[in-house]
Amino acid sequence: MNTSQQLALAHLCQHKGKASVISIILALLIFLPTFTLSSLYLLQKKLTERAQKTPLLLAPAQGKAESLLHHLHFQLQDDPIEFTPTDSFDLFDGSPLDAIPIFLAHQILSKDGRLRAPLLCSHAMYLEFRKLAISSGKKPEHPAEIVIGSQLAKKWSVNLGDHLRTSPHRLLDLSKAHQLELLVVGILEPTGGPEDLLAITPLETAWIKLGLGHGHPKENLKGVPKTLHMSIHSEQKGYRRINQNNREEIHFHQPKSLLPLTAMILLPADEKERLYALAWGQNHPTLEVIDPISVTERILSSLHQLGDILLLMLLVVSLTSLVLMGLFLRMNFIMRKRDAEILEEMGIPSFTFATAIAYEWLIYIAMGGAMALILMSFYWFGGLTITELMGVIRN
Amino acid sequence: MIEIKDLSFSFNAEDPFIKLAHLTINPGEHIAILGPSGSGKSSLLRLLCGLLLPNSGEILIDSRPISPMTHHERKKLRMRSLHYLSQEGNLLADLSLRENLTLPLKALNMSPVHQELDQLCEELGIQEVLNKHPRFCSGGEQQKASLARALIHPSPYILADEPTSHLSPEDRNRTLQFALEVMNLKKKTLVMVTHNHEALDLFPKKIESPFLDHLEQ
Repeated sequence: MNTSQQLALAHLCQHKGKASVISIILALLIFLPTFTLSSLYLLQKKLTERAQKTPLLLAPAQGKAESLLHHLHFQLQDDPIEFTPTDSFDLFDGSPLDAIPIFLAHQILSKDGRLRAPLLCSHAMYLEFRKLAISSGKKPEHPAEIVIGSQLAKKWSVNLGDHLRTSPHRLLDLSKAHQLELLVVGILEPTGGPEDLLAITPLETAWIKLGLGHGHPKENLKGVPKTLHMSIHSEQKGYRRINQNNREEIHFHQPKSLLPLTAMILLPADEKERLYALAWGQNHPTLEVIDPISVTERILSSLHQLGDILLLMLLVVSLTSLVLMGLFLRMNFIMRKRDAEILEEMGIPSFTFATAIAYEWLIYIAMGGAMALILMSFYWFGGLTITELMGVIRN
Repeated sequence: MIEIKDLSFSFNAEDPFIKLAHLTINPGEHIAILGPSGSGKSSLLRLLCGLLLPNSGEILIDSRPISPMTHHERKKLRMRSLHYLSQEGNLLADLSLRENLTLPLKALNMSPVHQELDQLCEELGIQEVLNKHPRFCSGGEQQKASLARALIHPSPYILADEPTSHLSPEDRNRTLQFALEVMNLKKKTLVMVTHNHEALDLFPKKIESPFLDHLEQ
């Protein structure tokens, strides 16, 4: 170690607080713009990819962007509007248009009840449509059976055979009515998509949770006049845990076409069907057909504007920080003038002091860079979802 | 040998501050410079080691005039031949006393003889604080460390500006006596500014400021 390096290290060791503050500022100066730009890029990539893989979305007319983010990226709304398949009957009437029904309003709770994740209630076709493979266990075939995303299973330490409760329908639903216990029958393979952080269950689960389906022992009705069914129904059980012993008792008193959905993924076979569906959506008073690509482009243009403002703000903050650091460096020189004089008096070459300061800054930059890398690795390997990214950008 | 010929120095051109016609300091000699504050003692030392330049006249170190030297050459001279001990103390705050002591040797790519260093510090009574940083040491300990650094430095000339001013009177003479013994052994030349009249007996040669028109005594 030469004299300059010795002086630099000695100074840093004697001024650990100052060294930490400078390194943290440098780390933030490196990390924040990189984080903002890469978040925007990642968000753009994830939104675009998902939009390209979803032909059309049928949802209540409540804002196309909100519906898209809710049903494609599972950014949950407080109170999603529901509709019934009957409302869209004429769209499918006489048309071979296929669709995957979705009900997305419920959430499941972690084992300790502190964390929540979306519960996607849909048809078995959804797994095939999104190419979701099961890494262990099986697909959910019965009400109250769920498959769980790989990341969620890891984060919540969930295994096959575990039971997870649904959350109350509303935050202030103190009665916790119709809380169901859901059996984990499968764990999904990692996809890198939003399904890694949710649970998927058959549609019937959603309706049972809403109180639209229930069960009661059949023998209770045997020999009971129909007029007395209401009193029998007053004893009905909103089974908290549905299993193979009581599964058969679950029934709905309405046809499924009258049971609620929050969206449908439309699968037009060709461009003609696609245009027909879009045109149908334009004329419908309560439902709309969303073209994910065009809506995503609109979201992205808003995001780019937001990104530009963020970057401008970051630029101003970075420049201010750099000016402050320049002033700090100057003050540092003034405060260490006596050190320079001592070296001068001893005849030690002038560059020794200058090189020592250069080494100090190299170390600050190295430490700042390392901290920025650690922050970036948390970000990259943490696998932020669209919901989390949107949260980061909103905050 | 240090020689001064017709030296004139002033901080402003009209008012000469130091004027010395002739002074010779032979190798191994120990000289004390006395005088009231502000009479130019410290400035003379700074002139001798090339930190200030004379307005006219010459200062020769081993027959080499300082004035025509470049800044870099004067620095080199200080690093190798003239060890200057300033009044303010010249220890770097970020280094321990031991690191401060060995710093000039390191700059010369010389490895310090730790046995000698430890022995010297023990004699000076700073062995216990060698690993402390200057701010944790008393002014006296810092001055002793600066003196120890001058003693282990290979330069033949030591220019010291009140190097024992922070020591107690009894410690001052004992320390100075020990330093002079070591300098005698190593055949080092000492030019020392002092206010300590008790120490003057230790110096066979003395000069008094103000230096205006003073000649060698």
